[in-house]
Amino acid sequence: MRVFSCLFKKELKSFFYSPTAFVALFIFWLLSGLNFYWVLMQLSEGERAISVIQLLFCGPLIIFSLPVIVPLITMRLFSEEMKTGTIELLYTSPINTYSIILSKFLSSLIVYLFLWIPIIIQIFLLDALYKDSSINIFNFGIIFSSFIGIFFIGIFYISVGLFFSAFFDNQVISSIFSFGLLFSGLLIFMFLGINTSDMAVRSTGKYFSTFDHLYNFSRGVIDSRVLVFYLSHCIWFLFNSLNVLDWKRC
Amino acid sequence: MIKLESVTKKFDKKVILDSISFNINNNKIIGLLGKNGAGKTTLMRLITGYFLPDEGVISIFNKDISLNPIEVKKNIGYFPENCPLYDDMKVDEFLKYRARIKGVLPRHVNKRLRQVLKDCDISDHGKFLIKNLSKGYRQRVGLADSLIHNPKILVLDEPTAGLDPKQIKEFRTLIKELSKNHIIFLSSHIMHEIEVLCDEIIILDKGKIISTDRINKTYNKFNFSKNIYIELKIDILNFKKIVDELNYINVRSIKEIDDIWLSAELDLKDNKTSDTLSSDLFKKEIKVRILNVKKSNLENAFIELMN
Repeated sequence: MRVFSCLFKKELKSFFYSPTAFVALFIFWLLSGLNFYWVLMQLSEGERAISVIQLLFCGPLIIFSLPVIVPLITMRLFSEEMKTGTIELLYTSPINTYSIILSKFLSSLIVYLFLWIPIIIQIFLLDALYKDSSINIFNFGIIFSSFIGIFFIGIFYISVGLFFSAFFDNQVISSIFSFGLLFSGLLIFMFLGINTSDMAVRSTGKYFSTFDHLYNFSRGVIDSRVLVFYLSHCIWFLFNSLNVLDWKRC
Repeated sequence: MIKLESVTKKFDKKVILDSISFNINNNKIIGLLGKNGAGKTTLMRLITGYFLPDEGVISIFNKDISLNPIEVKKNIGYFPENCPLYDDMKVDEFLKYRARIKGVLPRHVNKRLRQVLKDCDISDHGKFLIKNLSKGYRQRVGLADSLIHNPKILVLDEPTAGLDPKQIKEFRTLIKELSKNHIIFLSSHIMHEIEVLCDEIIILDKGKIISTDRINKTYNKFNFSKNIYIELKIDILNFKKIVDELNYINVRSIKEIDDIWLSAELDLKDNKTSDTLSSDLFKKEIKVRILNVKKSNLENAFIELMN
């Protein structure tokens, strides 16, 4: 455990040695600011309070930026170690490969959670703004389920990014592949989910659509099937990252 | 302490190391020699646990590295080729981090850090960012990293590559000093370095060990030609006759010193020694005033062996 915490701290620190984490945070915070402005405009036009949290978490700027931002966070995890040769230092140290993977995964998750700080501030701001009105912004249940949603979507996105980072020595290629898979998945299933001509296609699309999942979470619906879906995919990608690393090593 | 039994490593069905076996029981420096692609780095990576063997067993302190990789790696310090380091960390920070992940107890980390900084002569560079260090100091940090957990075995893959002559000399002194308490595997393309530093050499060719022995024994075993300088009282014609009679001599050059004495440079073949030559010359009543055996240097021996 001591060794793991040391690996984790180093990984977390190393995010802030390179500019990519700052770039990711800056872009996402900027987009969440723009999204907040858009939410305020919606409220001024008489949007219902129940939708406010949904708009904060599922605004188009937020949902479509995640497949770009997460690969920015994860692209250097293994690619950089392999490119500079420092992976050799890790492999020849008395540590397990899964400790290395988990430390990188958890540190990325922390950076990912940092992304959402402005959203928390925005919730408090909205609550303060509408304190005297009949609109109740601060609905703990909805906020909690929304964060459960972004957490589970986050672990899945990060595991995909980590997998491609383990696969490619080049950071740019690893981020392009992560972006390609996440963005195409998001778009394809979202469009399938709004397909009205075929119910089977529609329900399949909805079952896999991240947009629909986050939309439901931000309505206060915690669907255990969705949690299992993200958790199992996350474990699958992490496990295969381990296999890829072992395969590349031999 | 280190035992390899029929170790084979393949990449994509290509055999890189073929049934390698050796046994090392006490502290010494073992040089790894071989042409590029002979399998030196692969052998080092197998010993350090970076790779696992496809066949055979690697035991370190009686523990199979495939079954107990964590335990075994605690006893090994590795200095990889090209010396990869985390450039954005400071020297102190990097070495502390490495000490912790190598299992040094928190209360001993600072003590070990001070010790390796002193051993590698980088005490003044603890606060430097690694990316700002010169090549020589990077090598020292790499060596400090391999020593930080006080391993019993050191595996050094071309540790002096890219250093200036002064740094090379200092590095060799340090490695010699370390060999008192460590088993050291050293790979280098500088034959003189292997000859000066190593107690034993392992010569690899096409993934196979073609020799593993003390350097002197290797010379004798492979019967590398021995170069001899001799001054004797004889004229050239008679000397040539004697050379023909003693069919183990190759004449490199002959020079008349004066009317009586001549000097010659000879190679002795067929495992013949200078003793054999001097006794044969004595039997023929030829006076010899100088007979110098020039040791076959490792570089020539290596080239001869590879050919």
